[in-house]
Amino acid sequence: MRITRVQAFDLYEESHSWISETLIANPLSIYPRYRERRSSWFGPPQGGVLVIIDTDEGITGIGMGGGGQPAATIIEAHFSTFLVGQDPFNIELLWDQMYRASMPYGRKGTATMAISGVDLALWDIIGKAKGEPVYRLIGGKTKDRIPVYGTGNHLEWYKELGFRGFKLAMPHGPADGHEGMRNNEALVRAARETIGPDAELMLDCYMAWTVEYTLRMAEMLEPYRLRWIEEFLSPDDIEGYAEVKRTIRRMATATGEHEYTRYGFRELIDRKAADILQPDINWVGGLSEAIKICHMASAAGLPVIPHGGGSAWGLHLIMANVNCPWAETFVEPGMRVEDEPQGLLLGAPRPKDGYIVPSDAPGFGLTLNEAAFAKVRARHQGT
Amino acid sequence: MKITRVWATPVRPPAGYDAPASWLSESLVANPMSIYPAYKDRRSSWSTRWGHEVLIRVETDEGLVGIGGTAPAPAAMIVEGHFAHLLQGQDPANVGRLWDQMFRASLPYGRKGLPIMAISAVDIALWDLLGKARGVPVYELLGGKLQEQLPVYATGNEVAWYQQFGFTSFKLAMPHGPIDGKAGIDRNIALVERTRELVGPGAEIMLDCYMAWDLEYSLRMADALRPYSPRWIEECLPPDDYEGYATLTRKVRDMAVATGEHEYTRWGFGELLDRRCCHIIQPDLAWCGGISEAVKIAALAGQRGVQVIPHAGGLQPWGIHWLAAQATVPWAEYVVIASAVDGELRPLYPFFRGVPQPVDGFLSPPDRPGLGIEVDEEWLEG
Repeated sequence: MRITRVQAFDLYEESHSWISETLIANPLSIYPRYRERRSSWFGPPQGGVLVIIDTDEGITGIGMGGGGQPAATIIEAHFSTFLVGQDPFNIELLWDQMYRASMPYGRKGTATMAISGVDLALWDIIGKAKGEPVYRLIGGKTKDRIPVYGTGNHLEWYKELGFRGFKLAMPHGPADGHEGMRNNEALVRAARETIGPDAELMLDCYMAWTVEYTLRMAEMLEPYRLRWIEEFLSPDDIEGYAEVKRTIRRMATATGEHEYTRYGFRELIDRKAADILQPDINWVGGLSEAIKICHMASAAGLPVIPHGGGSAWGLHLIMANVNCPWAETFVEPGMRVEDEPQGLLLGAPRPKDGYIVPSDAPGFGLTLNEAAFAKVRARHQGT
Repeated sequence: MKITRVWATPVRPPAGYDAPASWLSESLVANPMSIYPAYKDRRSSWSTRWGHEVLIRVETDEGLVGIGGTAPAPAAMIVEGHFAHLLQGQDPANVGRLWDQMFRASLPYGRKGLPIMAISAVDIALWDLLGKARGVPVYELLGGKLQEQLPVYATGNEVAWYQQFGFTSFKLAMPHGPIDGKAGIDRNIALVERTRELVGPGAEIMLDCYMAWDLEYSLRMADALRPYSPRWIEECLPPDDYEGYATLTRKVRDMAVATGEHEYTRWGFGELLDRRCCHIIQPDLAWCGGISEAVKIAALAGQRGVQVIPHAGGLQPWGIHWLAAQATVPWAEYVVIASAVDGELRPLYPFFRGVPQPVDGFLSPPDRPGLGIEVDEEWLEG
């Protein structure tokens, strides 16, 4: 089998949800101009990138990366060199060539997000060629079903959906002083009351805090039995993460959403920077790289709970790795889980009674919604 | 003063401009893809196909235009599609805050590589703007002209030709790596031996290895190189292999280890320094985060007694200003992109007017406001 064509479509659109429009502590919270909502500083280069790879046997692979239009350009105007005419089964070789060739402008971020989309499309091809869901090609089932946790502050809704784990987005950071700390605490207290004593409660801090603030907040939050606090520092501050992990009590630390490749995760593991690793399969280097990271974490005795792991892509990784216990899901308030969203890709599994399983269809089990795709294709041809 | 416009323009050679292919892309130079036979012979076989680099410029309501660095084409979308929003309406004098906001806003897709290159290009434009607004050369803003004359070293393998221009220090591009086995080691050594004979015992020789080697190979090469007294061996390993660099730096004898061309920001260089990955760091000002970040990186390095010799510093107008303001070690790299058959040196940025060229092995910083350069509009019209 040979690859005949590689296309990459920037999916960035201004979209509005609680993630972009409510007060959530973030790396720009220290600047009043950008404090209120992330949409005030979010940009197109973090849009999703749909990757479509055609082969001479009529099998088409669908992948999803990040990095917006710059990543789409990297895929079409650079990585295609290493892909077209090659056998998609040689995925290790192709990954390595993309990584090496992008070394002069890559290593982390945009370029690695581009590799991720290609890698996932290649795995989709392999699954379709073999008539198997991807998880059956990388280790099979390590569990019958995967418990989900819900991220966001609409706990009543997630509870109604049967979720048993909940992750809050912290609204305040160091710039909001002690009053902000008390408001953070009030949110956590109310959440614990809502979900009861046995459900798991986590905090996402989206790179917004400092070491000192994190330690003070953690002490204040000790009574609420938190499972973990997440990404409280800038991802470059590995020493800071290690210090918090060493010092903190009664809760775990988690990070890795904005870390990349086995090399980046090696740093987190070797330097004992976190108790739980959270690679994003669409950004970290794809499934190939996420598998390696799971194996490294396993050897170090660490769980991997991927960022956005409840996606159609992440579920295959989680299903096939013993040290991946949970799937993260983002559910808009009011959306019934049985409501299939009319998105670009159809066939993504939805959680049921607090659990989810990956698709058993070949590959990642996704199909293009042609009606929605027509718009994306038209925009692509216009560029 | 407020920023009114930030934009990226592809830089295309005008009709009739003859740009011969460079040895950099067309000759056998060991590189990260050398382990694959299909991509071994020339870097152009695996280079990007997205077209020309883009020039970043920043305009203000006072009519001043800051000329920035150039960046790979996809960086245009980061600058125009994202950073412009953060910059418009802001006072360019607050360059420290604007840098921090670009860095933080790009954290979800950045940290290293392309997004930091985009920040670098904007940052350089802001410094050019500040110099112009105050009527002083950029080096004045960075601490003054502490160096009237910057000693230059030449990078490339046509050393006899470089000697004709007065260069007395030379960095060779190693053609061979681990895939070429013992015979490749011998050929690498033969090149160094020939060069040492040519330049005599007093000249400095350095080796560039462009991320192509591994630790074991680097140690073998370093051992074999000792009779030829190289000043440093450069970027032997992939930039993600910090541990490998630290081991190499501990073990290597009679020569220094240099790296950092593909490292980014104070945090990345902090890793290299904290872990003692090298004796010399080589940030590229157009990539590492710009002039602002190079100042911070140099402070970190100075604190640890590590030298800073920027990648391509002597080819870049911003690099020359930055070097002129250094108290010590202002060595400027001049990558000779031309070949002897071309007959003359070629600037890396032929579309900038006013970039000083080396004379008798030295560069003199320009004294005009800002970076002291103008853009040849012909290159922006394609």
